[in-house]
Amino acid sequence: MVPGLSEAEAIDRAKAGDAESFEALYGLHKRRVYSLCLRMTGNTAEAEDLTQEAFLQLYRKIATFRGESAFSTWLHRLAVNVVLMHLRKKGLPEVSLEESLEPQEDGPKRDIGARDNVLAGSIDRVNLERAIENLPPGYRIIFVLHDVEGYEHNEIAEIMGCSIGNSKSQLHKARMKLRDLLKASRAEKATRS
Amino acid sequence: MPSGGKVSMTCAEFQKVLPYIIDSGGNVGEQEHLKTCPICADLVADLTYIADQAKLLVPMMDPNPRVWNGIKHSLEESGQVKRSATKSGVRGRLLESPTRSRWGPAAWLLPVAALVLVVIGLFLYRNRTNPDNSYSADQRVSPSATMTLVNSDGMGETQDEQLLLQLSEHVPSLRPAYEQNLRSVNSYIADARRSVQTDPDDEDAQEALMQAYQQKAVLYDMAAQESVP
Amino acid sequence: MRAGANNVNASKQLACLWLFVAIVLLSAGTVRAFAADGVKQFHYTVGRHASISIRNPSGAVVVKPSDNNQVSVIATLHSSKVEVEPTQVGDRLSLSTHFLQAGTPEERRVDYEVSVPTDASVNVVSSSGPISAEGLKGDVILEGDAAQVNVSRVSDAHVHVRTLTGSIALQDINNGHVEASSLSGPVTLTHVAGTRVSVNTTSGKITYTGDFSGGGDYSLTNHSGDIEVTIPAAASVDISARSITGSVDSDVPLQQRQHNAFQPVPGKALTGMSNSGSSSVRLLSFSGKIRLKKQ
Repeated sequence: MVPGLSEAEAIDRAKAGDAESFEALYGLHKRRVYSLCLRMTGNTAEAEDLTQEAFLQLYRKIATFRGESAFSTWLHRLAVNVVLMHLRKKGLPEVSLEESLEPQEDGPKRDIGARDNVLAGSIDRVNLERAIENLPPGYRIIFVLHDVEGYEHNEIAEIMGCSIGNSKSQLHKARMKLRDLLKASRAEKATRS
Repeated sequence: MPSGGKVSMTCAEFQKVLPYIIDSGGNVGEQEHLKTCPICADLVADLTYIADQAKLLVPMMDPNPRVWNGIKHSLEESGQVKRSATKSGVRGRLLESPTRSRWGPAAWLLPVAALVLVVIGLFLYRNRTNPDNSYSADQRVSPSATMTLVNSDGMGETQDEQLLLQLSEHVPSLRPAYEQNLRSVNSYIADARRSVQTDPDDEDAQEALMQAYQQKAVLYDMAAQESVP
Repeated sequence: MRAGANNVNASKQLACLWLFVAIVLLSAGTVRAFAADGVKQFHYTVGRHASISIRNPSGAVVVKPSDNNQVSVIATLHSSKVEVEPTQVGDRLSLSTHFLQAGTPEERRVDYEVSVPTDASVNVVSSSGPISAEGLKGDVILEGDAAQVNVSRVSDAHVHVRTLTGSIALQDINNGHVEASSLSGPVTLTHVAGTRVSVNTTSGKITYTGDFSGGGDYSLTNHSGDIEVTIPAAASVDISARSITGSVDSDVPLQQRQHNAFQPVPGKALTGMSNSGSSSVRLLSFSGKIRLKKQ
């Protein structure tokens, strides 16, 4: 960031066409936008392309930013839309067919007595990031939007074009799947050591 | 709707309603079943841990510097940013503010027309300086130092005439085809330019003009290859 | 004893001679040229992702896949007024036709038949052509003024083709990046799909038959030629089609998109989705006619 220049000033100047200010905004927000794109796609090359596209869209639309929300929130939403548009073009299933949160017949089953150690304290963030990358795309998107980025289910439903129940159901399944992935990763490490 | 724990339930039953309990904001830990079932207690602990850890995931990685280079390049190519005289960053004022129309014909045409001029320059440079007699495309040439400045009316009839002259000297059999196609592509450029001038916000017209210039660049490039002695 | 020793020495000498001959014949990168009645043959051994470049102003160039790491070239010279100059530097191979003296177009003609490893990249320039390439998985770059260019069965690679007046026909190209440009030649694409497919002509007609699969970006644009697209009902496309001064008609059922900035104009511009709209398809003509037909 240019010394002495606040984010608000950078936004105003970027709206007026100042290139340095736009670059400053890029520097401020690139990491978060890129991390979002990377977590949602699980692919470095795609994440780079989508980050580029998000900032190009920011440039085109910055004049419409009115300040009703925080700039980072506004930019974040823009980046999410860029990623989702890209995923829709690829035809990836964002969420499965409508499912409610009602009790499912094929819910998870556990054998009594087959107790594993809990995950708490045994998983570091790198492992968690890796496990998120390995989630199926539909689960990954919902999990990243809700648990990582903090979107509410009603917001996710609006963004994704699904029902709130569907969003909740997918989130639960994503967490269950992550649990399995993390346990498998931990077991594999234990075998190797 | 399940009442959430007052009645003793099996593991399977509990795990079926667990998503609902979590979603309704109920305190999962207070569920009676968990007091007697370590398996489900562990499951709940794990799911809670995962959700909590996810909140702590801070953005860790910066994108490759080529991402910014790509952004800068796109803005420069579209004429919204002047090419930087310095190595780092985008400097100076943008040609057009995002709040105003970015598609004024003069500013927008410059980078596209420059592309055609580069090709014309290559064509002229090759024909003036290449002493090699072999028909080989492994030659590397650098842009001519004698490129003329673009004007908003187009590439100039002089360049087209020179191109046809070179073709006449080296491959006269190809001149008629090039002449005819040159007329067509100039007509393409003229039509597209008129459309852009009529409606500067018409993105299709802008794209048509871009494609027209690219067609001309292809024509010049192919002619350049043919005209190498 | 002495006779036995002499026999052993003679055998050793003979063995050395044969070994010497074998080494000469088997040395890597051997070029064997057999000149016979205007036909020259060349054979090269190359590594992975070799690069083969052919410059042939007049004559056919046919590129086919070989099933090993050999490049085989059969060049048919139609007169003694031309010669073929091969150059190899590592895995880069270049074949150039040179004119030794003035001659008629037929006298200057050389026809090439080239077999290359499937992962090799191929770059061919032939003014008159025809040029054809098939069955490859390396980049294919072809250029000819009046050449008829045919490319088929190429996957996972870039295909770049440009002509001035020559026709371009691309068939069964998958999972790559395709750019085809012709000033006035027709461009025909049949079952061509990839991450990016771009066709641009000035007056050449553009014809596409296929499903625009792969979730890619497709762009077909021209000035005054027609654009004709035939797609099956199962195609998953998000289409926008506009002819600025010409016309657009379609018998393909499309769902309208909400919140769409593109303004449809009956007979001149349309937009819509078929199925989930995975691939983005942009059809733009300045004054030509655009037709969307269902298969």
